[in-house]
Amino acid sequence: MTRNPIVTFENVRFCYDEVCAVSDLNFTIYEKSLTAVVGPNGGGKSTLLKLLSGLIKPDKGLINVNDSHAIAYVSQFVDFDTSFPITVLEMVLTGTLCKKVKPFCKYTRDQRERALNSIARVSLDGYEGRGINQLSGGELKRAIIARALASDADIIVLDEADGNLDVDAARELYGILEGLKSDKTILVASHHLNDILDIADSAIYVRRTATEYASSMDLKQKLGGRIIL
Amino acid sequence: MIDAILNYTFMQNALIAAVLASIVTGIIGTIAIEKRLISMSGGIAHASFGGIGFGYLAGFEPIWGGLAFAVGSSILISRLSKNTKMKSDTMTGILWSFGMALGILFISLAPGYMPDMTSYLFGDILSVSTSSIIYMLIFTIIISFVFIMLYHHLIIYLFDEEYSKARGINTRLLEWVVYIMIPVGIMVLIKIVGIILTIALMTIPVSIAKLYFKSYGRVILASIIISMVFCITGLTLSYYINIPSGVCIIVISTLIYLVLLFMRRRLQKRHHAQRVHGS
Repeated sequence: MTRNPIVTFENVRFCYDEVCAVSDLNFTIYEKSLTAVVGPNGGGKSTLLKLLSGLIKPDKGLINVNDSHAIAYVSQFVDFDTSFPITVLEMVLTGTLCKKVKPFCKYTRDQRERALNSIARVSLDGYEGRGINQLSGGELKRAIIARALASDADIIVLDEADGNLDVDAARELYGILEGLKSDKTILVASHHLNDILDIADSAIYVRRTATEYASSMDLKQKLGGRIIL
Repeated sequence: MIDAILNYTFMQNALIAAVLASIVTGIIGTIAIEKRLISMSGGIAHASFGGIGFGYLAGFEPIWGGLAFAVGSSILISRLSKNTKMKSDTMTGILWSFGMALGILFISLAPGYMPDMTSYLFGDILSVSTSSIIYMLIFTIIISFVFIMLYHHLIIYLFDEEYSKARGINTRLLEWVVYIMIPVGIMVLIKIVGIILTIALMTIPVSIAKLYFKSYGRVILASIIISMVFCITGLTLSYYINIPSGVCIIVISTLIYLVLLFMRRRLQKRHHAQRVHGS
């Protein structure tokens, strides 16, 4: 099966003032695949994902994202107030909202269906009317992923989506991500090596620079159970 | 009380003012609470006193001077905290005191006797004139219209600004809208509860609504109704026992909020205990 490249990094470098977080990043991400982004703390995983999402611009090099592919970024931390009075459905619907601020913008039936469908895909059916402050950590992460799914994004970038989750909640999340790769391109940074490499198609090992592995199993074998965190 | 409402213009004005202030409370209160702008709102309310004093000195309707100072302070706090290393709290604190000092300075410089400023400081729902009702109505219509017009975009901006930015939504425009709506709303509330007590009316009805509702729209509607109940109760007490309306409204609403909060905590503890026993 021919795989279509969707994102390419060419000699990308990014520095925070004097310190370069990543340099000489060269790799390709293919369409409808799940790529694990692994590496030690401070190795540059988050920087790489922020570069890909366009949240920061490279100091050097090129990041090519094929035209018409939108990217949704799910942050490492829940960076909003969880006491905000908003239901799961309302939150997921915000992912479908038109980007242009225009008067009397309303959600269409199609947008509602997309939101409900996304909620179902992350196994949160029945939670639509719940306030987000009534969700557990794992459920909240899934709701955030549902918001990304409901948007028009083809590429979903998750920065340690499994952080702060217990083993069961993290495994449930991996199951959902595995189910999504049939129609989305997914990049996940994670410290749960065994679990994430089991479901990923390919892997990128990041330690200031990136080493690309066409198969996640290649990296798993190479690491051979070594702890890299 | 009903006879008084039917027969006296000042009572009719008071009732209309209570309704308008409640609508503003529901909209502006939720925005200020969710965007963590309560402290800034307090600063804006106090800074407006400088404009009110200037109105007395220059001989025009003080509320317009108050509005100009309030909007100016809001924009100044927003811009300085974005473009300099100064924290918005620091700027708020400075404008808070500066506005009050300017207000007293201007009033002291005005010719004749020093006017009684109690109604501006603590509110007096029974002294709301027909001309005040007109400007309150205009401000309330503007706030409600803008809010309804940009409802969904305002929600996403208030809820998750970073995500809104990442999605390419013009958060700068929404920020301007919020930083202008808040001072305009404050000018409506000042007539009812006064400069000093404005923050309480902005926060208490919304905080009570948040105890029971999980959706933003419902919190706003509930806040409007709760605020209306408080304002009309304050109006009634103010009418019968002749004390400033703002004081009545805030004392009643604070006590009710504390009781409801206590009851809610007890209920949650009981539910938790039942769950533990059940499992």
